[in-house]
Parts: sequence; C-alpha cells; structure tokens
Amino acid sequence: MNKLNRRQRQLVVSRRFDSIDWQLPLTPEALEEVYAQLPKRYADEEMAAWLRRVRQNLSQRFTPTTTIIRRAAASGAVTSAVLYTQDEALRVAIDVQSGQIIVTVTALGLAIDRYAHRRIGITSRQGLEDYIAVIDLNDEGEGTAIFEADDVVRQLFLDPGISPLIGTVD
Amino acid sequence: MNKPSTIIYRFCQQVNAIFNTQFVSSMFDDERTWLALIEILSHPSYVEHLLFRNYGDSNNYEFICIAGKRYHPEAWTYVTEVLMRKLTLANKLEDKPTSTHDLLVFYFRSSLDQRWHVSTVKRALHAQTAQRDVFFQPIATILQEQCRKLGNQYGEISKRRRLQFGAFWLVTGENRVELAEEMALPDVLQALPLPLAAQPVVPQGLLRLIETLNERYGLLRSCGLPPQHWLNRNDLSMAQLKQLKTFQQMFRQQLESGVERDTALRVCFENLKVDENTFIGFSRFEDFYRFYYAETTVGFQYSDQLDPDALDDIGEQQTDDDLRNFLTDNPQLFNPLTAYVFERLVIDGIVLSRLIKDTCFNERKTLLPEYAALSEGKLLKTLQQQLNEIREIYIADADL
Repeated sequence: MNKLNRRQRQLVVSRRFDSIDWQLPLTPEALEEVYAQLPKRYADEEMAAWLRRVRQNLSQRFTPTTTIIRRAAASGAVTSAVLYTQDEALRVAIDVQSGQIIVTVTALGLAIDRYAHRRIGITSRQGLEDYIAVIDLNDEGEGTAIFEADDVVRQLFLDPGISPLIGTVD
Repeated sequence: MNKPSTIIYRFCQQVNAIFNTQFVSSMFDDERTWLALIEILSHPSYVEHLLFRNYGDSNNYEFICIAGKRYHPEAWTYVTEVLMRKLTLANKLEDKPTSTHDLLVFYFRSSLDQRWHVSTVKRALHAQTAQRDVFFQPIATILQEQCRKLGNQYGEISKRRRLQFGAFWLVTGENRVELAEEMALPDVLQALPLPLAAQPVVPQGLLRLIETLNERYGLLRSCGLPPQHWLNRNDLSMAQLKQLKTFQQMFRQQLESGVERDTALRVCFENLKVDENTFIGFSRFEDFYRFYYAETTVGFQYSDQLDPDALDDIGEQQTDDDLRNFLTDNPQLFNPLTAYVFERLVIDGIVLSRLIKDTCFNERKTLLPEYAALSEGKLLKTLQQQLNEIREIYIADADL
C-alpha cells in the first residue's frame, strides 16, 4: 500500500494525534467540590434551564491587564519569587511552603485605587487553559491566596517557560 | 472498525464511561453527570477540535470559574444547546422512531431487571390498553409527564406522522405507555430502569444520537458561523450549510495555491452557483461577500490551520493502515509502551482514562524502569511529549 502523502498525513495528525485528550476527567472528589458551589436546582426546573442559570450566575470575564514579565529566581529549585507586571502596577510574591504555594498580589502606588476590592486572576494560555488562580484584593489593593501545589499550579507559578497572564475577574 | 469523526468517537467513549458509573446505581445523578460532561468538553482537545472557536476573540474572553477550575463557555453551550436538544423526526423515517427513542429502548433492554428486555417502541393508531405492572408504573409516570410537558410543541413532520400512524408507545410485554413525540437525552436518562448493565463499548445508538445532534453544530463550526446565532435559525438549511462547507474547502485550496483572497472568494462563488444561478440563496457575489464577512469568522481562520473536516477524502481504513505500517516500519522509534500507546490512542482511538486502566498498558509500564517510577501526571506528560515527537517524524516520513 502506498504511503499517505505529506498533506494527507498532516490531516491524519490533526485528527488522530491532536484530538487526543491528555487531561484526565475530574476525580469524583473534585467534581463534588465543584458541585457544592453551584446554585441549587429548583424543583421541576429543567436540566437545561438549571445549567443556563448556573452559567449566567457564574460567568465572568477575565480581562487580561498585562503579562507578568519579570521573574526572580525562576528555576526548578525555586521556593520563592517576586514577579512584576509589565506596567509595574502589580507585584506578585510567590512562596512555597510545605506543599502549598502562597501567592500574594499587591497593587503598587497609584494602581492601589484601581485594584482595591477587585478580584485578580492569574492564568496562562500555555497548556493551562482550564485553570485560573483567583485572588481577592482588599481595600489596600492586597490579597493572598493559598494553592495546593499540584502540577498545574506549580507550572503556572514556577515554570520559567510559562508566561502568566494577570487580569481582573469581573 | 468504521470510526465516525474521531473526536466524536472519543467524546462518546467519555460519555459512555460517565454513564456507566451511574448505571450501576439505583438513581441516575443527572446534575453531576452533565457537570462532568461540561468539564470534559472544557479540555483543550475538545475546545480545539469539537467546539466552535472564534479566532478573533482570543484576547478578552469569558470563562466560568468554579472551585478554581475554568469551564469553557462553549462547552456549556454545547451541552445545553446541542446535547440536550430534542431530536425532531426526519421525513425519511416514516413510522420509525427517532435515534433518541431507539437509545431509550436500547437502555431499557440492558436493564438488570430482565422484565424490561422485551421492550420495543412503535407507533400505533389506537389508544393501547393501559396495563401497568408494579415494576412498570414508576417509569410510565415519568414518561407520561414528559408527554404532558411537551404538549403539542413538536415538529410538523412528527405531527403528520402521528396523524398517519398514531403516537409512539413503549411496549414492554403487556405494559404500554405513550412516549413523547420528541425526546432529548436528559429525557432518556430520567426514565431509565436502573440499574443497567455497564456498556463496555460505546453503544451504536449513543454514537448515532450524538453524531446526529452534532451535525448542524459541526457544519456551523466548519463554516465559521457562530452557533449561538445560527443553531436555531432556519435561514440556512442543512443542504446549504453543506454547500458552504464545500465552498470553504475550495476557498482554502485556492488560497493555498496562491490565489489572492478576494479573487479566490469570487472564483469559488461563481463555480458553485448552480441551482437557479444562486449559491446558498445569493445570486450576486457582492451580496454573498457582505454576508460572508459580516456573519462568518473566516477572517481569522485558515491561516495555517488545518481543518480536520477536510479529512473526508481519506478513509478511516486507509488512515489506520498508514499508521499501522508506520508503526511496523519504524520499530526504532518505539519502545513497548509507546508502541502500545500509539496503537491504542492513535489507531484505535480509545481515551486516556481507559488506557491507564488497561492491564497491558500497566504491565508494559511496570517493566520499563524509566516509566515505572513516574507519577501518573508525569507519566502522561512524558508519553504526550514522546508521541508529539513521533507525530513530527510521521509527517516527515511521508517524504522519504
């Protein structure tokens, strides 16, 4: 049998290789955690109507403000790092302590008014599209959140090959 | 095996696996089931290959964040507007039921309670005797309620067939109950006589139903027409969407052969104008041009993207053979584990969650020290990386 040509093989790759879902489904425990946060379904509410309501309630818009550009000590052995956004408006301090990653976001100078009481999200389009780390800032434009250091979180905050996006979550 | 569009086949395997976890219980937890499906559809492979993507709107995007997980909004749309859609009757079916009715009966017959195994669905003109055994009554009540809720809100073809051949009835031995003319997947899941036997492979009925539900959405996706605006509009028939898809394929070929964009559009339009000198209802190129740029997202597509739908001209068997020959001809590229992963994931099209439970996969993993010590996450990342390298060699090998 003749080999497929390059063009055909590119199409095979697109269909057979690129469509492989390399992410495992949520564990029942993780699904339960998600489920617990949803608004309850009304008696007699159609399934589709409930899901549309959930979507409406939980939909948010992530507005990337700028990318984080400066990394300190970004290596595999890093245990803490301080990152700044391109416009120097936000400082992100990362600290690794006993399997957890503690992230503190601080608005700087004139940016305090802009970010006080805002919800900040950190994500990346490089393989982490399903995840966003959310941190609420107080009236002084500062907020801390603690994340379990699983592979995704570790990659987002500590992998030097990843460019995190920081933005507001409205 | 004749595989349908692989991404649908992969998705159906995940759906089947989730359904199986519910089939063994005495109550189907539909809320968690749909939530799990939305989560799966939010994975990058489905976002890239099944869901509609507006390439022009990548900088400022909506998402749904729950417990730190980001759910893709299009996955949500796909579930509520595509998978949960009531299937209308096709004209050619005459007195036959829809794929949804067929799936309902298939699941009834797989109940662990053997009394359901004789279930059938058929149209009958006269009201049937309403015998209700105790085992039948609870399910009958649910099905009757579905009929009541639907009322007469169903398609014209169904109305015609119902007058001609009568209503649909579920017949289980001497028991009978009327079924709604149009049913959706949630209706099926609501009425199952649980527990059911787990389905080791994707039931053909489930595959057919999901393919049918996906058909219009898939065409809209191929044509760059946002489903949120076009899914329920009748402006473009299925036949016209298929024509527009052909147009897109021709247009892309023209671009690839170096023809300038607007010229390529005009050439394709003129070539496809056939019936009454129109193409999907447009007789003037200028009107079509306006529609094309205003309504479709093509301006952002087809840079160097390859559309998997364009694979229509390579058969599944031909694809399988080519991949298998590549595996046989290049043993130096594979170790026993990557060869197995290549065969199962790429050729057979199974999903990851099934692979990692596979005995043969785990035996090979254990025998190879470079994999045996890795955590599950690291192992999958390593295999993904190795398969990506093989993927590049597979393309380059075409020229050798």
